[in-house]
Amino acid sequence: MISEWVGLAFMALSIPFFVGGSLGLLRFPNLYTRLHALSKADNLGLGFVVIGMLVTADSWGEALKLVLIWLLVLAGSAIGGYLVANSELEKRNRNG
Amino acid sequence: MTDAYFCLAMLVLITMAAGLALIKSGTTPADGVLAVQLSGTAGVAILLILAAATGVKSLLDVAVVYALLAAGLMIVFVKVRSGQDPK
Repeated sequence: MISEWVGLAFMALSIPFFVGGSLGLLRFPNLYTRLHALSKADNLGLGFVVIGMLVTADSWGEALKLVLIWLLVLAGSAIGGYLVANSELEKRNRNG
Repeated sequence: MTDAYFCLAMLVLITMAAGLALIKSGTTPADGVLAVQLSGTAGVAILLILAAATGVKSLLDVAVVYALLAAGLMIVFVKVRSGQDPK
């Protein structure tokens, strides 16, 4: 029972990060800063959700799957962030 | 307890909807991709919270697929974009 509340508390911690990520995405002035808000804040928020679920995980397999999900999202947004920023920079260089 | 989980999922859903509003007010295609990436990350979080709330552990497998698709989307976007632009 207590572990469920601990897990819920960790999940609740993720909310400020998601709010911050979305606010940054809406308010920041250019693509690079928006990319920064998105790839940092949101992945931290997801990390807290994963920790919250790890506390109540039933088995090692489930825990491993949770960590795998987080690592996949981290790797995906790191690679994607580089690719999008790089293609924007290339486009800018081409256009003048 | 379950209600608390659903409230959390709802809050994440609201931030995701706010981010998706960027497409509507949208500036460049790259911003649209960012918004979709946001919905990918927040979507994974919502799936995890729902898995905790309902005890349906197969939602974790759905979350894995979401994470993979969001990564693939960015790569496809960059390839299409660099293909369309004159070198």
